[in-house]
Amino acid sequence: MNEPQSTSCSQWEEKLAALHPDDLSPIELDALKAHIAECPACEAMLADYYELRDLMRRTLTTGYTPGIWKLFVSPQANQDIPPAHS
Amino acid sequence: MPVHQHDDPYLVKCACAGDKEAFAILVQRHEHGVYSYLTGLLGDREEARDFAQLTFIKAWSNLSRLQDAAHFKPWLYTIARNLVYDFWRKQKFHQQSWESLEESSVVASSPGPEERTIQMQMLELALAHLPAKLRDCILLQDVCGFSRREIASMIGIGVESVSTYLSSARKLLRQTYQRMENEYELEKGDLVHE
Repeated sequence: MNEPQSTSCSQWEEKLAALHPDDLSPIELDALKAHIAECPACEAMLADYYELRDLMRRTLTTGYTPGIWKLFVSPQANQDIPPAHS
Repeated sequence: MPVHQHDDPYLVKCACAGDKEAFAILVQRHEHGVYSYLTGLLGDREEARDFAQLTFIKAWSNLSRLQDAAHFKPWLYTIARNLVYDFWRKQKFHQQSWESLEESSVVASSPGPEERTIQMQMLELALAHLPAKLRDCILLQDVCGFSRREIASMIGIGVESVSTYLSSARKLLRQTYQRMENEYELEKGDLVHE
């Protein structure tokens, strides 16, 4: 993680926080890229946001073994699941 | 084409016609994501597992109410989210799980585990410090992969509000995580000097 004192420019904060590919228009994305190229604080903040996103994904999936799907294929479990409304 | 290679809307249509195998494939595709989202929201892995199961059972039972098969994923996460919020409303203790997590200080409870485990514990604690609505937005985007527009539609607020929440959530998460990281480094340094 980057040093805590690096603060981003307030007018770019919401765009920096929009990490989904559909969140920003191509024009907005180009403008953001141009700004980041000149602003180390915003660049550092964006890098941290991506790092935290990746860490969050790793952390929250750790230790989980998928098995709920078996409820819908196991004949015994089928008896416990209510029928879908038609 | 084998059934597991079909896209979600096709499988949803099969499942609507009573095909449990098609629904099981949908569950396989989404259960990891739903579990991760619920773990982040609830702060309790066992509880998240139970809620994930409930989510899929409820989705199966209400599949005919899904108006557009292409919207299965947001519809599914909305079910998960509603189950948690209903639970919180009934229990009135939506901070409790996280508080119990906070009691176990990262450093005090983990003498000498690997750096990666420490990072993950700090991240869970930093998430716990976020107000529920900020935590919800950042999880829906980062863990579930929804855009701002999709989140706005799921939660029932404006896109601008989602943007504000996401920005606040990321700033707060970063600040809290950095503070914990610094405290951990200091504590580690103290232990080395003792």
